[in-house]
Amino acid sequence: MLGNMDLSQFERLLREAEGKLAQGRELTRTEQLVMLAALMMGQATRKEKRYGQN
Amino acid sequence: MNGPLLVILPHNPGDVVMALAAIARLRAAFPEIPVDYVVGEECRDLALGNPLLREVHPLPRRALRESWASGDADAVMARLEDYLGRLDAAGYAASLNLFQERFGGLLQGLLRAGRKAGLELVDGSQVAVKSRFLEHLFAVPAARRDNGWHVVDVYIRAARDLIDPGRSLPWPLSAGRMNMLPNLAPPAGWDGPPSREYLAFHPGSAWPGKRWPERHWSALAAFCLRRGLALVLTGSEEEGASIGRIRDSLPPSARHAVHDWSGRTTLAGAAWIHSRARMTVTGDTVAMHLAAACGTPTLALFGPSNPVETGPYGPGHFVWQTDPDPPARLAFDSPHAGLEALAPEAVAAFVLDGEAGPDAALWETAWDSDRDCQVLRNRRGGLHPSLDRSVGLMDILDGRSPGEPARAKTAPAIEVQAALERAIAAGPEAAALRDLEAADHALAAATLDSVVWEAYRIAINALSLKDIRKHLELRRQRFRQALREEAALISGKRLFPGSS
Repeated sequence: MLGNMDLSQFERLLREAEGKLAQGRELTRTEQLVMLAALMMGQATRKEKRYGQN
Repeated sequence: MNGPLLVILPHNPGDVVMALAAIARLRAAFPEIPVDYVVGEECRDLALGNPLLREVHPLPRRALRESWASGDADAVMARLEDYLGRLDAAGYAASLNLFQERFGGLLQGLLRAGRKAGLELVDGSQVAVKSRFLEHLFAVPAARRDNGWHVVDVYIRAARDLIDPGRSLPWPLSAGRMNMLPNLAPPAGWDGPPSREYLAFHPGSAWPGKRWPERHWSALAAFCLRRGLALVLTGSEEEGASIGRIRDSLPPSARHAVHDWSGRTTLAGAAWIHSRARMTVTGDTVAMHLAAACGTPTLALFGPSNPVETGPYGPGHFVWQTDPDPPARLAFDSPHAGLEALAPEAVAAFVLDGEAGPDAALWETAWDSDRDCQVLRNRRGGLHPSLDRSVGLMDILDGRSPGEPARAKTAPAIEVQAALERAIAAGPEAAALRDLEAADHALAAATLDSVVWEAYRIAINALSLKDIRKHLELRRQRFRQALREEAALISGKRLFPGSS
């Protein structure tokens, strides 16, 4: 687990992970976690927006 | 398999319902295997309390967002680690990821489980497909009309490959209707008609191409009201305006029998409404999956999508699709001519009296016990075209004999091989894909051949262009031998020059 990570560091790690993935390079566990967290936080599907608030 | 199974398919309500259908069969075959489920927030009320599932793990999206909003990235990571730790603590013997986006593969890759199937992050570097059945589903081409299996049957095969790869055990099909959503409760304030004394209509869809026109819904509603039937209308809040126009178009004297519940229910509440309907009439929507999952007879009015793949699942449902062989590239964002042409008088005759002519574009769900999958048949017993085209491929993937290659009909095979080679060499540019598609259909029409066709499926998969080469290479390793043999049998030509 990283300590004292701020949002900008998180975003930088995410960009690096995206870049490595695009190049077919291996991701570290931390990079995988950052990517998963970003996807999880951003994953508001269209249907969720339509039904989730009812 | 000794231990619990974790299923990952968190998003999109229709997909979650279909996953539950697969789990219902898995549980019937292996009642001793507990099944846990990873679900998103919008679908959690479909899974929580469902007796098919031992534990449900809602994604902690809200908690992560709260930490993010407070500027605490460490807390985001800590909460995610905590979530993963709780999943790992369950000691899963296997996990099955059915979510075809990177998210599912990442999550599964980070979890501990004895065995894994589905999309998986391999070596941290790429999302690869680990189940041939998911690979098949993953490889459904942009022409979705060409998939011959219902998604639930693909899920079932993926689970079977994971749990019982040798297929040593029977997978009994539950007799009659399966209720995948037995834990439903009425929506708050429900004051609608009693059970089985109404028809449920779900007129809306997020996609214009899936919507039957409002004027047709109005006409169908008027026919039903004249018969003295009550109607319950469901839909999302955004669909309320359209549903309001349908309601307002009806005779004022009959509107008391029209109950508009659009925008007033959760998904589970909508499912409860559909579970008690005499029949549900809908487009290709989540309501279709909800109603079918509850065993309510469902009539689905289909536009461009493929009902063989994602239609209502279970016995005794119907699909009306006046254009069952749409263009390869499906258009969901504009009104569909086939739906426009579907007359409300014809639909009303079927809904009210069960009447439809032998040539009606009406397909009923049925079970093919020989192939162990759902099929769609018309009133003459004919298979839906999407299924008819795919039977050979299904047999190959299921390990059945693919039959003799059609030696005499060489021209279409050579053509599709050449088109495939061009697509491999040049990438899936539109022109090459059109050639490939045309060649493939010529081949399929002439020979019912499937091996080359499977490679074609990969080539025109809606993967990003750069991924297709990578994907093709993986696939080619498996298919090289079969393709070379096929090519040798048909034409003597080497399909992949330089291959050993």
